Amino acid sequence: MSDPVLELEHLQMHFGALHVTRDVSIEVRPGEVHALIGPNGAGKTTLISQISGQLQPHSGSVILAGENITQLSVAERARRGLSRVFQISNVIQSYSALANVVLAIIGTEDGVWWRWRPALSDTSLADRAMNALAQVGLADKAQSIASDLSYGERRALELAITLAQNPRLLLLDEPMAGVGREESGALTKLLASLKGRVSMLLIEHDMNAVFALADRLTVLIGGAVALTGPPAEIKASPLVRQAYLGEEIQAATGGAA
Amino acid sequence: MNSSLVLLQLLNGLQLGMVLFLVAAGLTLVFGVMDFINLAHGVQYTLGAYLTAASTAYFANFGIGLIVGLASAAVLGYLLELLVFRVLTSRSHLEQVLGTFGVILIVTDAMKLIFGPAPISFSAPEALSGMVMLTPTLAYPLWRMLIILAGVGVALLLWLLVARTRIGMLVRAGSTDREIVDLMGVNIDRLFVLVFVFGALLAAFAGAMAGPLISVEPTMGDNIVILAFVVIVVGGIGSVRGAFFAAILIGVVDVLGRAFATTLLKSVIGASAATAAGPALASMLIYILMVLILMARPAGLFSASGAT
Amino acid sequence: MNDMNRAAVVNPALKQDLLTGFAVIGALFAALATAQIAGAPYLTSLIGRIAITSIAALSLSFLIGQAGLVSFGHAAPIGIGAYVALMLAAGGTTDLSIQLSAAFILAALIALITGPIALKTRGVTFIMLTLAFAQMFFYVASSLVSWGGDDGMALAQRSTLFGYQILRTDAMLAAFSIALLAVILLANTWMAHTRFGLVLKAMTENERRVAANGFEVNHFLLYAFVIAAGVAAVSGVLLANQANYVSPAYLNWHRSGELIVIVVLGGVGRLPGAVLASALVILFEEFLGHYTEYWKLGLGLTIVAIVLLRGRDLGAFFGVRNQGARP
Ligand SMILES: Nc1ncnc2c1ncn2[C@@H]1O[C@H](COP(=O)(O)OP(=O)(O)OP(=O)(O)O)[C@@H](O)[C@H]1O
Ligand SMILES: [Mg+2]
Repeated sequence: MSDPVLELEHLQMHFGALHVTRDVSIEVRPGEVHALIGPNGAGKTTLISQISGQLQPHSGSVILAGENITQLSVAERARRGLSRVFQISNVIQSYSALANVVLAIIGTEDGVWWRWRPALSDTSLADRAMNALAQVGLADKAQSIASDLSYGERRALELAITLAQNPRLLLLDEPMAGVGREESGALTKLLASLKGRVSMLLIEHDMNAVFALADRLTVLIGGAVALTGPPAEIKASPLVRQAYLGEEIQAATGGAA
Repeated sequence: MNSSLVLLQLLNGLQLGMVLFLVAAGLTLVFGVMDFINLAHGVQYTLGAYLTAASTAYFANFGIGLIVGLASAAVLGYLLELLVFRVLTSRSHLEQVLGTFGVILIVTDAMKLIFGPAPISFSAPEALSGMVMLTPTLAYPLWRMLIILAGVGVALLLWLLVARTRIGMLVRAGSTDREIVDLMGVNIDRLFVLVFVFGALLAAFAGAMAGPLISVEPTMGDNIVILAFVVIVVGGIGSVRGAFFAAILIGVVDVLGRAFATTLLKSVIGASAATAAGPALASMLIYILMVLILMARPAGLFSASGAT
Repeated sequence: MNDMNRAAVVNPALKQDLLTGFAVIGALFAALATAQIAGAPYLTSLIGRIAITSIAALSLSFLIGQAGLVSFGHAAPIGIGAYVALMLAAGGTTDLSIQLSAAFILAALIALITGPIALKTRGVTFIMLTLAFAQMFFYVASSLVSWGGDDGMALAQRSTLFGYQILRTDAMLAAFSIALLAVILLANTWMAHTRFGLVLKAMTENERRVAANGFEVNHFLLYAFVIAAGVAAVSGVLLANQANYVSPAYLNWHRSGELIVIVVLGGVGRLPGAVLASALVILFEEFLGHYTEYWKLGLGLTIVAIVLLRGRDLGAFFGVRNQGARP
């Protein structure tokens, strides 16, 4: 088995008295889609933030492709290939879709301090940005200002931003949340098409999408890992059924419209 | 320097602190509740001093003069709120800075136009300008003592208002989470007018009380408002309690610095260098203090989320 | 990598910004020429003042509009520049190449020390920290007894350039200042369109996104803070020459406040707007101040009126668009 892309080792974190991350150890293997599920408030977003660096764990380590990145800043982690789609849409609202993606590409290069040519006249940047936009189906919206896009389009744009960075690991925090049925179907298809090429850690409440995409799942309850395993095992686990999945599985398998 | 001198300067520091607190209280509430940066808050201090001085001279009675002066300062504050600040509260911080700066220019020149550019005379009433004996050997000006007492009194009153009344509850809620207040169906504009006029009144009161101790001139509000901003940032924006303790801290450090920095420096760097550097260092102290405090606690000593 | 761009380097948005910049600079030169032909020395010195104030305002406009940092201490680097000119001139070093670089470097180094502390915070706390540092320098300047203390001191002699007395007359000073302003304005306009400008502008809106894209937010902000201080110090050197005098008053917080007012009046993010607003405030002071000593009343009323008539800042009024890559 090849080395994992991401390893979390005994992460612990508190917000005051609230213990949000309890001895979490997870690994994401290369090319794998690893889903992180759990009830509201289980600590999923907080865990992602510790991986991408917005939050610091109180103990434990985050290891990206063999390198301990626990002490690195958000930006340093991003440059090492961690790319995050936030739970709440997070783009530069006043920039065009194209400029948003160009900005992301600049982040992966080091010419930002000395390249003096206007960024938006740089055809090689623009080509790569258009490429990423086309992947998420936003090619014809390249010149639209982000704030004029629909919510679903903004989610797609955020995905284009992360894809343009050629990430080692994509951190996706509920990419389908708040997105219409049709758009979420398209998004699932898109993620499926990336499967195998990009490793992903995916938080998602839409169980249809999760079971369609994930190679392995980790169930987080009350900040602690309850179970990790392939979809079939998770579906079968009585613990998980009882603690969390019950309704959703019924909904997913019971054919509720 | 002997201990009674230090004690007197400590009291002077406390007295300055109380003046700062009276100005800062309104500033921090308005900022906390409305997210409104009012550079022109010092204008209320100036108006309080001028109007009280003028009406005291007119009525030949400080008591009546104070009431009339403060009432008219509050009315002018209300008018400013009505005409200018109300519109500004929905604008960006920068526009607020611009607009309130404009108000400073207007009021300062208006004072100059009406009362002349030179300081006007304003003294404490005869009966209150004596000394009190703190100990059998230690005398302290009664007027300054009154300012200290008034400041403490206002602090207690504010604490009661904020901690015990419905309006106080709204103010606390508003300074941490505006939406909650909106959700409760409270007319936030009315709440703002109330808080604003009350704050204006306190600043005017500070001006009226400080007037006899300093020179009453058109630009007197400029420096006090900067110090008041130092106080509210050090204390934690939106926190009245923070403003109280920060005001005392700033007042005491400033006064002690001015009183003793040069003397203390002389023993370190020699007389001539100290005479040059002492006053500069003394003036700098509160800013150095502010930088150190904010480096340790960027949200101030008592940040508004959690405590008032 | 293929660094040769097939497409035009100067895109339409940049072209428009540059043209506006050229127009403003052209207008200043035209005004100077007119004043010279008409033989109005008073007007000439006024134009010089406008150009010098514009450089200071421009550096703050860059900081506020493109980096989102409201410094309430911008008078400090200006004053530092002025004192550098005073001290160097007294020592016989009058060459501008040395004076300007020394001023720029000193102010930039100081900003490199104060910046990281102030940048731990944002918003009002940042504003107050920059004020605090500026106040410290104000009091340091007041305590420089051998340089006039509170009163300040006259400049020993005007600066020179490579042996030429290039600032000898007010007209020459004005022309030199406008030329320097032109360089700074156009460079800044161009910068807004580069990769660096694109990143900086994005930060003012959403630091989280920009950090997640791999940019160290505070490094960029510090860089902007340091550059702005350096440019402000350049204006300080010219100011010292213009007034032939340097005093702690240059570092007074009123000056910082006025500069913010000029920037906001000109329209945040509109660089040529800062020049227009500098001109307006100075002309206001001079012409209204000619008739009444209460000219600030008029300025105050104008400012309040402009703010209340929503969005009608000068830049918008004259149709100057926000600088930067057109999103
Ligand atoms: N900055 C914070 N300060 C204090 N508590 C926090 C903070 N952020 C999150 N929490 C708390 O930590 C717990 C975990 O939150 P988190 O957002 O990680 O949950 P989640 O699993 O992502 O939930 P959801 O499915 O609703 O997105 C919650 O109880 C939340 O209230
Ligand atoms: Mg979450």
